[in-house]
Amino acid sequence: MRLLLGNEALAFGALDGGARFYAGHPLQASAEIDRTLYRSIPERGGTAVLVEDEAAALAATLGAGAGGLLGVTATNAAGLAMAGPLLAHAAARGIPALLAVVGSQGDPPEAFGRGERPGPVETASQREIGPLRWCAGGGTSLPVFAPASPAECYALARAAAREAVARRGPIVLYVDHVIGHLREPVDDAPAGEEPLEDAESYRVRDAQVLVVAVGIVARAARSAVRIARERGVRAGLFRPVRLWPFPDALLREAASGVERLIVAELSEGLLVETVATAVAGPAGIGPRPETRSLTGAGMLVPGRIADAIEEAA
Amino acid sequence: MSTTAPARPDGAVGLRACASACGVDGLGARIAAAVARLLDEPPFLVASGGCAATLASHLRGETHHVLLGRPLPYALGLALAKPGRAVLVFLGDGEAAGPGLGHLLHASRRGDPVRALVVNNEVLGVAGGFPSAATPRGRRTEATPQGSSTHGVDLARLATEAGAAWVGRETVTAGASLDRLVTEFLSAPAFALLELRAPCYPAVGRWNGHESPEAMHEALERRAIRDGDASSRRDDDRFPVGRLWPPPAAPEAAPEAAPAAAKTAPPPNRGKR
Repeated sequence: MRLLLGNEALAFGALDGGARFYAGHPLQASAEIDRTLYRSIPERGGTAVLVEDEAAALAATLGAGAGGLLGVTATNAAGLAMAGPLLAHAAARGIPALLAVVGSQGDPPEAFGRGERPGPVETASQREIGPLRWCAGGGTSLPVFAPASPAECYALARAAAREAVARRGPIVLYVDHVIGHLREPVDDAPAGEEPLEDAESYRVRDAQVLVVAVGIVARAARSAVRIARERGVRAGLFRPVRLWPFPDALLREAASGVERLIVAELSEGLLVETVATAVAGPAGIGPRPETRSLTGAGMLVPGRIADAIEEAA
Repeated sequence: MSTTAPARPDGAVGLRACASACGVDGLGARIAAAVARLLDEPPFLVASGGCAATLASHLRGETHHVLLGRPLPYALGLALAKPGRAVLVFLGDGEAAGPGLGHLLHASRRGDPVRALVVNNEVLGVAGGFPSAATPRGRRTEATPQGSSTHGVDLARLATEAGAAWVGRETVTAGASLDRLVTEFLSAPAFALLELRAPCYPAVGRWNGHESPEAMHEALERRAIRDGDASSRRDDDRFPVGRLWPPPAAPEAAPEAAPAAAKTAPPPNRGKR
């Protein structure tokens, strides 16, 4: 057990999953991933190289993958914008690779005090959720996994590294800015192998209101579910671990007895349409629970989500 | 994935599908012969698109066609994953001086364990005859009959300034001296850049008063400076050829017989295997 940042845990997970090549153009959001891999990959007999930009980093990672060495690189929203054609190339040619996308900090809420310096909570953002859906340019949908803790950063990165090689293709890990910079205990020597889970459901069996949330917001939503239940509202949480392609069927299952859904996310509402479409079923007909969007600039704290649950009930 | 070079014992300039007679076919045969002579194992061949990428199909090797602009960093990853195997990158001037220019300078700076061959025909041939970033100012092209309005960069000189270990330049019709330079290029320490000047008659030649592809080849030869000063910037449309770096006065870079892969610089931050 070690105390690690989400970013560090992701790097160690990729290493333990078999990544032996790192090419990177270090950026502030992902700096801890870059630092950890640049130091640790050579210690495991692999090769690490610093290159001129994000496109070069991903291109070199694919070159290594094509040469039989699983590569990993990390970037932010801006780098993700440059990654599309290369990710599409990797998917089309069957080149295994791991790409970690660490979310950027967003703009603080307008109400934020003048002269005060906004911290990670005030600038929490998940605006990469939208671009990640078609991050390979739209021709194909890549698997994107979104951990909600440093421990899960480790576990998902480890599993994704193995999966990338087994499936011969690129896998993206999306870490929002808060999760990437959260320090928590991580079991970095687990006994067994955990397969990649597509979703996590919490207290959904009798839920009348279901919250859908990803990453750091899912943790706040978990507390909100407990608060709401204390207030007498039967609430539940659905967290897509595989963010894209969205686990539609699992959500439908979790939402089968639900009256209302709340999609809580730190953006202008990038997930709400997907959720509404998913619960409506493949034909888009049948009883459809009302789906609301709870968005915010700045962190959605548990109390705020609990209020929204109570309002919806 | 790979093809064998057509037998061209005479080394004559061949005709490509576009019938421009630019000499890339004959060039392919020469490089294929040198590769077969010097390398123990078939090399990795990395290219994207454009005329220069067709060179890769003349060689026996494992070909990776990647995205425009990205062959150099892709080749870096491949070379680091497969140490001991030679990696040859084929670029055109449109790519090398455009989206790939940063990669070219950084590959030179880092000493990437790859060798890049740039076919410079001073035009975006397949993209409609537009000027490339290596087209000299004033040169008329198919898309700019009034003449290109911007300065063209000198790729070999930029790579030299950025720290490439070996830089050479030749025309595609140079015959024996081209063979010598290709041999040296394949044995030289990395990062190595060989710029090959080729004419593009359809996109450039016929817009600049050349009567035929052959006449354009002759004009290109007249622009080549042999045994001249390679160091200074030239504004008179001529270009020095031969080995440009290390300077001709320095001792030979490497004996011909040595396998190319053994000469690669140690890759950065490599751990114990």
